[in-house]
Amino acid sequence: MSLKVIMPQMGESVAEGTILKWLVQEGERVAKDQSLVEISTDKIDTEVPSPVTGILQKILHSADETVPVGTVIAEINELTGEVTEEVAVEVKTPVTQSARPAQVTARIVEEEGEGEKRYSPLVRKLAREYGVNLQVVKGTGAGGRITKQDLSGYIEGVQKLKIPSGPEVEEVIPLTPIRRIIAERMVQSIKAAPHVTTTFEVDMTVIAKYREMNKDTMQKSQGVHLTYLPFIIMATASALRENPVLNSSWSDSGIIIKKYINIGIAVSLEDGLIVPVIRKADSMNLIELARESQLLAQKARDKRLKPEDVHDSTFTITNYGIAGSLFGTPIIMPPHAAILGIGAINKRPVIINDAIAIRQMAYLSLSFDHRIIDGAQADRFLSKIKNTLEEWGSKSEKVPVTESGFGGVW
Amino acid sequence: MKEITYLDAIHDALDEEMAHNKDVFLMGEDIGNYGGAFKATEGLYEKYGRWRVIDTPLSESGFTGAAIGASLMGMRPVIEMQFADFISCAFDQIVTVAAKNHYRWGGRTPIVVRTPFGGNVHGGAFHSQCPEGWFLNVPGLKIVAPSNPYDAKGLLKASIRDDDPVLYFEHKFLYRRIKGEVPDEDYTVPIGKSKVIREGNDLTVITYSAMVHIALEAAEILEGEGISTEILDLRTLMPLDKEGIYASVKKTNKVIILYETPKTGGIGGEIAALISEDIFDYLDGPIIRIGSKDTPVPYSPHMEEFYLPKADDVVTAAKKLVAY
Repeated sequence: MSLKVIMPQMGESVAEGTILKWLVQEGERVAKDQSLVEISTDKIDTEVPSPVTGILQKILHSADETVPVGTVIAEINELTGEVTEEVAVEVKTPVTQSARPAQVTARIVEEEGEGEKRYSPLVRKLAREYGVNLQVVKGTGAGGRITKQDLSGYIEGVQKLKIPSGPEVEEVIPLTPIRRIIAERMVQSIKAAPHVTTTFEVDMTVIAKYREMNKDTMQKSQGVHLTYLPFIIMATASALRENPVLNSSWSDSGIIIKKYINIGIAVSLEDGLIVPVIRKADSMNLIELARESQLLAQKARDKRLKPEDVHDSTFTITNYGIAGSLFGTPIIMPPHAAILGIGAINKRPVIINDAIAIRQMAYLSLSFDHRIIDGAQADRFLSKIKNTLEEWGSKSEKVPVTESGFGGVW
Repeated sequence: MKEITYLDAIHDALDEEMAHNKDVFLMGEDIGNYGGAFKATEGLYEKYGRWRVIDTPLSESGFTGAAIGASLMGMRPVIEMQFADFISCAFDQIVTVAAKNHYRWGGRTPIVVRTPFGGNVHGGAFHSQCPEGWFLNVPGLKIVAPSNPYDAKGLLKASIRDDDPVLYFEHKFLYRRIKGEVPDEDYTVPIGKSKVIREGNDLTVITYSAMVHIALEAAEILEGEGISTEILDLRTLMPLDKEGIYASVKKTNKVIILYETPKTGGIGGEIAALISEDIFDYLDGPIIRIGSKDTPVPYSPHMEEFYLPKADDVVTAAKKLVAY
């Protein structure tokens, strides 16, 4: 039986995907669940497994092609043992997955947003691909409509303007889907949310000692590499529980407070950035947080993240300190209300009781959406995190180390 | 290569296939001694005898049924509707029996129904119709309609060798008016493949049979006005060559579908729907259909001229579409 492989729906709002690489070539045999093709969508890069065992009969879209969700990208001739030629020719297994209504809604909204003007499907497709604002293109078609020629003329003109000195001295790197989506999201965020950044200095000495003391045991008994990150996630989750307004989204009908705490962790990749999510972070203990954050980061670097790994986060932590940065002013990831940036943890001279001491210090910066959160609330939140970290081990955070490893309920 | 007429091409295809395969035989009204109403079978009666070129009574239903029966017994009959209009008399045999044998019980029905069709020959309402649209809704049939001698010969040979029932629509207006080069050696034209017969960039005219020549005439006029027209000759109406259609539309982004059947319910609506379902994002203007008027074919030459699509109609529509 000939079976059609379609570009899968990788998330609610994903409308198209780019084929990065075919892992099986035409004519080759492929086993059920064997990785067939690498695709990239505006949410994630991932591998698509083969739905059946068979021979990859035909590749209909080659690498670097971007096609809408639901497009048939290949045909597999399923091996069932008793395939006759006639069956192979005439029976086509219907593909059940279809485009979601969400896309249709989005399209209608887009049309309304453009007011009285109407554009042909082709013009809208090209505008989407090249990121052209159609309002600025002059139309020469009937009634001032923008024709294909108008738009391609405009695009050529813009491209000439952009590269005045030729390919010898400048180079244009084509936008990857992930680059494009990062750009869109960042612009969307900075335009919509008035950003304010507040910075606290946190003494991490206690954490550093605690970590130094426990990391070998943890590695040995749990197989987890203990970094500073899980401590900060834990402190953040608890601070979010106390300050729910930080765990929210802006909407015109009201501020949506989320009762679940899903913390996104920014992971930098060679060609971009992705934010896998730790679900219900407030219900996890230190070991679980360490393990989960490590696992997600690895999956992100291996491009093995699934759609559910990147959805539904409610708050972000970005750890630019790894690269040496002292502090930053991160941009909030929509639709969150805030983002926490972690600066480098360095030994610094600090005055304690009028004496100079050497302490492990870090700047924690919080960018927040001033539509939702005021400075005092933000500082209360950040000081809660600071206190948790500085007083680690003094209260319930104590973890008894036993023969079998870490115990205790968090 | 020699230059022959569209009618010669049909004649030669029949002759060669009969010589090549003794299972091929002809049935129809006046096709024997008389050589056929349009002389498509001239000389074949003398050459192959009365058992292979059979004159039948005036009963399309009867000889179509006989052909279906013979085909089930391993023969490859080619039958002629004297005028395509008369195919309605054999409608039941074609759509209920021939089209469904293979589906119902696996029997192959390799018959070819030759149907001289089309207007512009002042034949009036009973002798000028284009009935191909009636059969587009009947899965199980193949339908071809060549526009030139090369395709006429190659498609007829392919139809005779095909194991499914094929309706072969040959246009009366083209019989002696259109000449073209045809190879001396044996060849076929594959069923199901369209052909770009003129390359262009500004719009595509999708058409077939006699209307191909109207499209060519229009393309010449349009070229003089700086508009570059691509013409896609469908050649086969069923199964439709979607790949060919989509490739051309993706290139030019603007489409006219030109056909001789009345505009309503013709193949144009089907092709327009396919384009909009499958490659909507490639359209830069509305899909335009140009067909005949929704009336019976008039007898009066002036009225018939008014009824049929003309090059001017294509030119006017094309200019509007390109400016859209």
